[in-house]
Formats: sequence, C-alpha cells, structure tokens
Amino acid sequence: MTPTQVPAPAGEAPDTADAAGTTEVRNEAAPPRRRRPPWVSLGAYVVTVLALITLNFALPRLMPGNPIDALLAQGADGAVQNDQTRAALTEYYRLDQSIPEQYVHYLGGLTRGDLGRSTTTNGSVGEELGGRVGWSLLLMVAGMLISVAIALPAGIHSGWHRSKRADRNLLGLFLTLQNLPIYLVAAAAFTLLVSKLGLFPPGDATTLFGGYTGFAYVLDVGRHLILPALLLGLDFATYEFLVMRSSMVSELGSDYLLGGRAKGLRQRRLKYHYAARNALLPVVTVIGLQFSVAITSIIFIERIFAYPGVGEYMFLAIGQRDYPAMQGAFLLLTISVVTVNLFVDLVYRRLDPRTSM
Amino acid sequence: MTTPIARRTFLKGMGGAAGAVLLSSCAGDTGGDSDRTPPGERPTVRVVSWTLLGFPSPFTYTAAPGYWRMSLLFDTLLWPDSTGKQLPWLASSYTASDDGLVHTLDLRDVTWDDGRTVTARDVAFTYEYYTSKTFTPLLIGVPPKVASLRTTGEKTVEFRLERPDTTFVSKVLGTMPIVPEHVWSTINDPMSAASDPGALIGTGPYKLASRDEAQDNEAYEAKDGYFLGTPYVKRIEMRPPANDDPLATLAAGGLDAAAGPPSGARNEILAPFRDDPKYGTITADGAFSFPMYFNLKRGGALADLRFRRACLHAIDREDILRRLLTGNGQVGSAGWLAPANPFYEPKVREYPFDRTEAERLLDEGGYRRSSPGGSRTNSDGSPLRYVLFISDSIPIALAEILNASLKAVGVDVDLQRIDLPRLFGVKLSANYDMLVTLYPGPAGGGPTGDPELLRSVFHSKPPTPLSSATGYSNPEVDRLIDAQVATLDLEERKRQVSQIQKLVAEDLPVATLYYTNAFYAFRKKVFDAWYFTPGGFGPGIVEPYNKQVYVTGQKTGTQIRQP
Amino acid sequence: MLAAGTAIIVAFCFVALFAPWLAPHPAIEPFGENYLGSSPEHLLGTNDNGSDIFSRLIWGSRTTFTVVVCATTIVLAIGLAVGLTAGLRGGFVDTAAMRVVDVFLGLPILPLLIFVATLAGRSLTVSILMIGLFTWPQTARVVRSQTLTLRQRGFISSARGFGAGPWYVIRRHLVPSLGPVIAANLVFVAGLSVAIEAGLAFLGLGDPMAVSWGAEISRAVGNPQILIDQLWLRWLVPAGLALTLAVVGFTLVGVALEPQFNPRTNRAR
Repeated sequence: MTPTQVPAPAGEAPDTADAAGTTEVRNEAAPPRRRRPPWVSLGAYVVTVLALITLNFALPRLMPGNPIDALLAQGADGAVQNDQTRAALTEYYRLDQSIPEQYVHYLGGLTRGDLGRSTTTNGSVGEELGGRVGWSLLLMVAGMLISVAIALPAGIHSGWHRSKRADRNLLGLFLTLQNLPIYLVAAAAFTLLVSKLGLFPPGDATTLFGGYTGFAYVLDVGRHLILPALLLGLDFATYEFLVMRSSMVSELGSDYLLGGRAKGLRQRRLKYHYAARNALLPVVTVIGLQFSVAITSIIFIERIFAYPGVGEYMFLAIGQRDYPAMQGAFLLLTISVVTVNLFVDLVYRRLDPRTSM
Repeated sequence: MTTPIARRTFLKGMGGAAGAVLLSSCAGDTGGDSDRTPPGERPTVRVVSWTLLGFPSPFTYTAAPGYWRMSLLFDTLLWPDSTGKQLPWLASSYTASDDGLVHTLDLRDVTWDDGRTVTARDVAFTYEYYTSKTFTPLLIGVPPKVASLRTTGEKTVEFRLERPDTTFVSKVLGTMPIVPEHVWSTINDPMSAASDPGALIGTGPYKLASRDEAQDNEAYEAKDGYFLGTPYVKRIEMRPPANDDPLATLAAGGLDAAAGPPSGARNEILAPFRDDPKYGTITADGAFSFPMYFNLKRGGALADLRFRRACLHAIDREDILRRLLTGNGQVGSAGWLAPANPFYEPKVREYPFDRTEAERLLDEGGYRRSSPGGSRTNSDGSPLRYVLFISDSIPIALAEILNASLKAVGVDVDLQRIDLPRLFGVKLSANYDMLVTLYPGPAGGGPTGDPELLRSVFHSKPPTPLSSATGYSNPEVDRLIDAQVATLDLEERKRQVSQIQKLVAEDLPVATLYYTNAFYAFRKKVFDAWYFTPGGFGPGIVEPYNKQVYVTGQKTGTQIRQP
Repeated sequence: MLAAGTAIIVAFCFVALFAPWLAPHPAIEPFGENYLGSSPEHLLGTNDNGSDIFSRLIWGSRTTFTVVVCATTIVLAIGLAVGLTAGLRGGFVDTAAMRVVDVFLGLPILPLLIFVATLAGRSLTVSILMIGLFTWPQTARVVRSQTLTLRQRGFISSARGFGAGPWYVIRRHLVPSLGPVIAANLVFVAGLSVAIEAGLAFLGLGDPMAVSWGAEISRAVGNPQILIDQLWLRWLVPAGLALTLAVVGFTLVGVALEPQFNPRTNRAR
C-alpha cells in the first residue's frame, strides 16, 4: 500500500534494501561495506536540514495565491479593504519585506523556537502544532506496533517455509497489499466499516464532550485509534514482511543452522530462537526507515479519519495559503524524517557487526 | 451556510447523507443522546464548529462563522431579531434624528466579565480603536467615518454623521462589538492577543467553556448574570461534522442542527428531513448565487456586450436547476438581487436560454466560425478562446455543462478548476478572463441582503475588488448607488435600487447563473426556534445562528422564554 | 502468476488503445439524464451529469495508459542514465549521484506533490512529471547496483582490456545483464504510476477535466447521494476494481520476473 518507494538511510544502502519491493539476496559479489564515520553522517545531516529549511521557506512563496488575498477574501461586502488595508496587512505579516529579509527573520525565529503566527487563526503555530504532535505520534507508534505484529511472524514463517504453498500465498497477499493505494483501502474501510456498519467512530481522536477520565478515557482513545492504526499498520507491514522474509531466507543456508539440525534441535527452536533472531537486524533498520514513507501514509489516514494530527494541519494550512502554518508543519515533518534516518544510520552500524569492518 | 476556504473539502460528503440514515449508530459519538430536552430544563444545543476561524475575540476571528461565535461573547449596541428590526441590546434606548444625522443611544446597566461597569467611554473607545487599527477586524472593516462621536454623561453616546447613511444602523450599531477600554487600551497589536483569556472579557450572554483547536471543538456556557436574564440555551457545543457532512451528522445524532451545502442540494438529500416529523426545516431562498464574471478590463470580446449576452443566452439554466438540483433554486436575475430580496425588481432584461439568439449575437459581433460547428474567431483572426476559472467548491458537473454550452455556440473555453486562495488571488489582481464562483464569499451577506451590497459589485470604485465586476463603469449606476445609501425614504430608495438593477441588467458586466437556497434542518425537541434573519445580522450574515434566538429561546423580542 | 498478470496487462492495453470503438458513449455528455440506473443503453447507468459510467471507465483507461507509458519512459531514461553513470564511473560521481538519490528517497512525497500541483497547476503533464520525478531514484539504484556487480565480475574491465569502447560494453554486456532486472523494476514502476496517478486524481491534484479512474472515485465519493439506490455499486466499485486490477496485473508480472521472488529460481546457499 505504499504509494511511493522505499526509503533508505542517508549514505550507502545496506544491500538488503533496494528498489521497491525487491530485496536482493545477499551475494558474495557485493562490494565490500565501509562504515561511514559518524561525523560524515552528521555533516550530511546538517546540510540536509539547512536545505530543507530553505526549501520550506521558498516553496509556499512560490505557490500562486498568498495569505493576504486569502485573508482579504474573508472580508464582508461593505468592509473597507482598500489599498491602505492591504498595505497595512502586508506590512503586519512582513510580506512587504524583501525575500532575503523575510528569510533572515524566519531563521531568527527558528533559533528562538518561534514558528510564527498562523495567518488564519492568529494563534502561535508552535502551540497549534504542539497540540497535534501527540496525536500523530500516537497514531504512528500504534501503526508501527501493529505492523510489526503482523509482518514479523508472517515474514519468519514465509521465509522459513520458502517456496512452499504458505510462502507463495503470503507473498502474493503482501505484494498485492503493497500495491493497493492506501487511500483506496482506507476509503473503502471507512465507507464500509464506519458509515455503513457503524462499527467504529466517525473520526476524531476522542469522543467530543464525552468527558471521560482515567481508564474510560484510554478506552475511548483506543476505540478511535484502532481502525486508523490498523490501516496504517497494514501499510507498513508489507515492506517489513518482505525484508523479514528475505532476511530469513538469507539465514537459511547458514552453517549454524546446519549444525543445529545435526545436533537434533527442534525445528521450532531453530526457527525462532536462532534464525529469526539473526534475521531481525535488517528488519530493525527497515522499521526505523519506514518513518519517511510513513509520513505520506499518515497524512492520508489523518485526512480520511479526521485524526487531529500534523498532517491534517498541513493540509488545512495549504488550503488557506497560511505560510507560517505550512512552513511549521512541513518543517516538522521533514526534519523528523531526516533525524530518524540519521539516528538509524548511526545506530545501525553499531548493531550489526556484519556491516562493520 | 457560508463556507470559508476549503475546510476539509477533500472529505466532501464521503459517506453521504443517505449513508448516515443507514448508520446503525454513531458509535458513541453522539454527545448526549438527548432526543428531547427534559421539560423544565434549558437545552444544550450542538452545532457545527469553526475553530479554524480563529480565537473568538473581536480582533482575531475570520469570516462570518467566526463573527457569530464572537457575538456570543460580545454585544453590540443594537441587534436584530426575526423581524429584521434592530432591537436595543446593549443600548437601552435608541433614537435617530429626523434627518438621520444624529443617533443617540443610552446604555443599560451592564458590567464586564471582570466586574467593571460598561460606560459610554467604552463605546467611544471601541469606535476609535476600530478606526485606528485599520485592518482589524476584517469582517467589519473600518466603520464609516462619523463626523463626531460624543459621550454625554456616563451612559449616553451620540453619533453625528456628515451625510445620512441607511446602513449605519446595521453596520455600526448592529455590528460593532463593544470592547472594554481598560483591557484593549494597553494592547497595541490586537491580532496578537489571540489565545489571551483577557481578550475575551466582554458583556455577551455566553462564556467560552472549552476550546480544542486540534480536534476542532468549542463549548460555550450561558452566563447566569446576563443583563437580559439567564439565556435560554444553557450550553452550546460546537463540533466538527463527521465526514465533512453536517446533514449526515445530524441524521446520525451527532448534531442538533445543521445546514445544507451552499451549492444546493437535491431533493433526495433534503427529503429525509422534510418528511420526518422529528425534524423541523427552514429555508432562505436566494441566499447564494453563482455569478459568472467577465474581465472587462481585458477588452476584446470580454468588453463586448453582445459577447456577454450571447454567453448567458447559451446556457440553459432551467435545465441545470432541474437536473443538478431537482429544482432547488431559481434562475439568476441579471439585476443581481434575488427574488426574495425586498428590493428585488422583476422587470429587468431577461436572458432566457436561446441558442439561436446567442448565435445571432455572436455573428453580429463579427465572431465568425472558422468552420461549420467549429470555434469562432475574433475579427482579427485570433481564436475566440478564454480561460474560465471555476472554484473547486463548485461541482464538476456544472463545469462540464458550462463548457459544453459555450462550445455549442462556438465559444472555446479552457476550463480550470482552482482552489479558493488562488481564485481570490486572480480575482483581486484582475488576472483572469472569465470566472465562476460562489457568492457571497466567506463573509456572509448575499443576494438577499441590503442593497448597499450593489456597491461592491457594480460601483466603479468598490471598497474591495473581490466581488466587483472588473472594469465596469457606468456613471449613472455610480450616482444611483451613492444616492441610495443616503436616501432615508424607503419608497424613494426602492425606486433608485430598481433603476440600478435595470441598468446593470442591460450592461451585464457579470451574469448571475442561478440562486440556491440556504437549507437548515434541526431536531425539534431539542430546540426549535431557529430562523433566518431577514437582511442578515451583523454585517449581513445569512445564518440561523442569531444569538437572539439562543438567548431568548423565541423568535422575537428580548423576553426570555421560560423552560 | 506471470500468465495472469500478463493477461491483465494485455487486456488493459487493448481497452486503452481501442477505447473509441469499445466505448458506447462519449466520455462527457453534459446534457444527459443523470442518476439513471443500469440499462442495456447504459450498462452501469449514468453519473451525476448524465454521462455513461461504463464508457467513462473505458475512456479512463486511456488516461491511465498514457500516464504509465510516459512516466515509465521518463523513469527509464533518468534511472538508466544516473545508474549507469554512477556504476561505471564510481568514485565521486557515484557518491554524488547516490546522495541525490538519498535526498529524494528521504523526502516525504505527498506534501511536495501538493506543493508542486498547486504551484504548477493541475494537468496530466504535471502529474506525469511528478510521478517520474519521484520514482526514478529506485530504478537508478537498481541499475547502479547491478552495474557494480558486473564491474566486480570483471567483464567490463576485461572487455575494456580488449579495447572495447564504452558503448560496446554497454551494448554487449550491460544491457543483456541489466535487462531482466530493469524490466522487473519498470513493471513495478508502472504499477506505482497507476497508483500515484489515481491518488493525485483522487486528491483533486490531477487534471480536473481529464477522465481518470482516480478522479472518478473522487467524484463518486464526494457525491452525497453515493449510498442511495446502490449508486456506489455501479459508480464507485467498478472504478475501484479497474484500478486495483491494473495495479495487481503489473505487480504479478513484476513479481514473476523478479528472480528472488520466483520460488522456482530461489536458491538457498
């Protein structure tokens, strides 16, 4: 269900992850791995972040239409909105300054943690985002947990029983799932399960004005979370499954397994306790890397389920050409992605002894 | 209901109103399951929310829905009820001189939320504050300059105008919310006061009990010490509509009252509410219109009267109303004002569907067809081809019909659906050929409002270019518009407005395609006094959310109904 | 799997190419009777403006087909160019190219797509360019990876040693070896193009006047009457099925071509 391709860590790719859906079986002919020194990774990170900040600033200003027009359009028929008003507004929002001046001011604000004021609500963008980050994170984490719960056992099983019917079926299922557009599945799920059957609440993170507290509140949040998280999890699971499976397959020829079988260890123990554990490493990387792809899926899900997260916020901001809000949300999203990638890059090397030299 | 910019339009109707009827349960999202307010108890009413439109202080809201939310917290001097008449609200009495130049008001004995007394000084301060802070609030804009504003004593205010102004009473006295001097005199940047609780100190009937911007909900609680008495509606909960479909949410029990879409609804959608006795419905005819603007500034065919007339003749508007809206609308009048408007003039030039006439006009104008059935060309040989921007909140079906109708008479249009900010951008900068959009904009008002709205459309110097017919200038129309706003005699004013409509119908700088009706359905047993204010409340808002109905529980007067 | 997938793709191409003869009605009939139910005249009834739904489905395949062909071509061109250069040259060029690829892969696509669509306007060309722009990185990677492998195996250096020019190397060695891998990758890319184009249309970012499956879904879902009179069954479901089928078709073929997925060719070490 990933509408785009698979992510990769900044830097050289581990050869278990390649093009969408394809996982190369590791072969001896692969070029030798080199561990990238951490300061290179950090350096690349800083450059990327700066590039993103600048891109973030530039893009909204390139879009046709601007916040002043959008604001003035809200005015009444008889409201006096002459050039004077327009000039005053433009000055107020600093849009009369030259682009470099605006840029400098923007950067200055960033260093102070000030993301500006939304031109539509006049509220602090930072505050508004803050109120939403929690929900997006909750959705993301729940989705990740569900995806792992689905993909790992399936991948282990499929890889272990490679080429048999179970493997073929699972493979076919997950591959199809991977290519189904997420918005389609989510829209279908919504129409069927929510609108028609009423099995799940129609949107939002909690029952509004429900006044639940304590455990009842947790249940309420859970009830609203389950369907979006499930769909998100299915979306993430497809790729994780493939990597898990491929990694298992790579393990299959290992000597220690042969030795274990010779020693008479039970299949089950071999499968889970040894093979699976060793096969886990690349999957762990992948799970971390899913983050950037996850953003796209999360945005779809948030919109369809009206989940009050950052993705929904960004969309609303675009609809209003609300520059500060757009910038704030986009910045938050992109920098999180890059940061997670960096983290995975730095940590992964430590985790997998086979990739270091 | 006027919809502001693209709020969740991507979810538009997903699931559908009918789907909601099939909904077995709203899965626990019905706030209170109250289908009936217990006798003796004051009701809690759940309506659609608009947290997107900013904090409800008088300087940080946007658009019409933002205004009426704010009106729950702040009062104006006068306020209308269902008769359309302005009642003394914050003012205890109001008199105007015979020449309409002097307006005197006495204030009631009212205190602000923080205990201080409301004085005439507050009123004067408010007026000065609005006029000096030129860009806030956008909805009200800068009130017209008065010649003088005097306070005589603690409780009396006197406005003196230079010229009579028929809109002064509703636009200033009935629209300008009074704010406390002791709070705002220290604030230099009113828009930055968003989310400052001190910004909400007012006299209004309700106080903001809770607000969650992310989940888009707010709750307002009635104030027991309100100067008219404890408001009838105890609590107003505003929540977002599920699936961006208010009617569906109403049917599913998530709301107690909801409006149909401004672009019109078919009978299949409205029938469940009309036929079911537990719902009441009200309609405001002609609340919205779909005008097609021509940019006369660009010259060529656009500035040619024959071309514009031909375009309108080429469109079968009756057919559109029948097929797209099952008849829930009226064919547009070329005079702009809707039939439901008290100033409507029926005897204006009409443009019935007539392809032959359209062809004749185009032939006469020298726009020859390059080949039989082909597109026409201008007299200089360039193709008769224009870009037609259409708002993306208008159904595609209408775009397809317009495209085909114009092509049938040889006018080639390049149809582009664009989103509202971009649409406003091209309109404000006059960067378009032709444009179809929903009128009024997010601000409220509409073809049934006070005829002063004609100034924004047809005057050569409109207050804002947003709704104006670009490049149109008729000195006689200008003169009449300037005259009617100062004419206190109703019959004389009607004559002037009639004349304006006749003239603009002849000139056709902008063609109103058709009107749709505002439709509103509500659960009778929760609250049933809803009405559409004739002429609108505040700056002309055509919504049923007139606070008079919340406060009194009945349609007229300031007496509060006993539960 | 290969058979099923190929059958679907062939059928899809057939319908797209012969649409004018297959579709009983034109795509847009703005004055027809709307919301008609199924009948011999209108197999799936008419939509909200009186146009025949079945015909629109057929015409829609053309749009999808165009997008797939164009986008895949772009991806092939860029991916091949970048991947080959990176793989053959190595060193700084390789590193630089891979950095660029990484940046692309790390960007969240959807926000950017929305930005670009609003910026550049909504048209089929923009959609195709955007799809191409965001999917070439993976092809480049595959090409590069395969090229590197080949390089490792010494074919290239030995051929060069014999005095072969670069083009000869590309023709005789790289292309035959790259061919299957690229083919498999491109088929996946094709499937992805279908999905992304439909996604864009669904979000309203595609060409508003083009007839496309994604746009059809969007229009159906946005209609408040969608659940009355089984409207969804004849309007929404067929478009969704067509879309899914096309994507599945490409996936099946891609999977069948991918060596490691084909259980028969999978070899344990």
